[in-house]
Amino acid sequence: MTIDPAASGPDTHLEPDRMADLYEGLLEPGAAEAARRHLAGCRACADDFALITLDSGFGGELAAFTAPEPIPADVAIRIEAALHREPPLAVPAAAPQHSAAPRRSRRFRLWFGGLAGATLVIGGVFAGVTALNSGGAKSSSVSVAGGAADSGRSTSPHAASSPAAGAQAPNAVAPPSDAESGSPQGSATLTVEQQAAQLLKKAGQSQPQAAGSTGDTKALASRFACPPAGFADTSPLGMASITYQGQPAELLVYPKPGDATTASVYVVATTGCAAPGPGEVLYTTEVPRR
Amino acid sequence: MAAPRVDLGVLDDRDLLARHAAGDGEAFGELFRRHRDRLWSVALRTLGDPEEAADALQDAMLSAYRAAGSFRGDSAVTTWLHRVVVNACLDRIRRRNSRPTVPLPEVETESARPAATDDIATTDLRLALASALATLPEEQRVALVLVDVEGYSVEETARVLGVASGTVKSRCARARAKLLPLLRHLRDGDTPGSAGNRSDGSRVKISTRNDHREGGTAG
Repeated sequence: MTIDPAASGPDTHLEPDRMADLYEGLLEPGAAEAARRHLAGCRACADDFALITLDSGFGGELAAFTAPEPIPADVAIRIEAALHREPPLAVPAAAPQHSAAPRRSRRFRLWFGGLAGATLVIGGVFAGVTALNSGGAKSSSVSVAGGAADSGRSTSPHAASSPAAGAQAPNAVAPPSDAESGSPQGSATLTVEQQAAQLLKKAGQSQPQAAGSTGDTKALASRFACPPAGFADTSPLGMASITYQGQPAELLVYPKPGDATTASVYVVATTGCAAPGPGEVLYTTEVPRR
Repeated sequence: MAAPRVDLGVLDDRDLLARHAAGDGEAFGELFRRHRDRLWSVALRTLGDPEEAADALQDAMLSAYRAAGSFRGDSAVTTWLHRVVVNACLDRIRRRNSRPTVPLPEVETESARPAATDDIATTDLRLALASALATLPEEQRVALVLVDVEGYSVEETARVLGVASGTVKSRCARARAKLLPLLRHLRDGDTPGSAGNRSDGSRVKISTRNDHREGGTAG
């Protein structure tokens, strides 16, 4: 690396750090006076001193020498997904239960909660029997009854216990509303994270199989022809047909490479899937493999 | 999916933050989308490493999301967001510095990586700037990035950093002293296309880590 000929050298010009010392008033009075005398008689150093002490800065001129790139798409998606997983800050004022009966006792809530819990247990048993009777023929669908029970424990706020759940989360998905769901309660809406957690739970979290499947991983993987890029040869831990933002899609849960505690979740568009080839990823996130 | 009840795009930053604090699940996302490029830029140039910048920006946005209720409106929302991002970056730098086996990023960072359209001279200056920025003490680097790269005023930067204006001036002066050879090219009117091809054959002197010197004592 060659040196700029205008650079301040020892014994001939003021060193840049010495100029900064002068600017900050750190020099002894005698040294400061000598430095000022040098600046008064040396055009090069005076120009350098003006550069260093420029109050207005360069007005962003240095940005011309850095690549002004927008945020990468994957970073933006990742951060938006993280934000979507956060609970809303406050309860919207329109939440009816809270305003209608603010003094309703804790005992009532416990009683009501117990009733709701019992209903979910009965519903879960009913759904389980129904699923067993169906023989797993529609293994890619999500058990909605199970989803409702799980949602109460979920950390995802948007579709779970929050009073704001009426406003659908951006990452909310609906299970198939047709007969494929195998459940009359098919209108329940869960977040991607909740459905992925359900799939992991039903898959035993470690064995690659879908909800209600036989555990044949190759058969599971082959049911969807357009996995995300990089996952063509990876068997998913679980998969389910869903509706995402109004369009049919496949929810796929894969083991995260190098991280046994995390699963990678992808929502891939079904429409336009042209096998063999990567599908269009509509949403991606990660969930813990608890 | 239900359509948003309100066109969030027409709301100003304060309204968006207020809606978010009131439980609107979409408002903060709009705020992030509105400012994410500039916030990313600050994080990237402060940290110099895209992966660390992404982590810092995510940490910062989650912090801002959760702390929005405590925003008192004393400053602009963007100033507050920048402060959160800068603090997240400084946290990461301090953690990085506490791990001696992890070096500062070298030249090949996202901001320094040559673009397809770069000529050699511009690439030289990009590399020189990225390398020089990486050698600066963290407080000087952040001040220089905000004032000289991002174009914030000294007063705005002082508000973002939560320090006196004199401190910002001092840190910038220290940082510029280390980048002086690079700055001379700017002062002399060299464009990115000509700076590396001066008739006198001079090139930019890149500071080294041995040049480190803590500054910023004023204010």
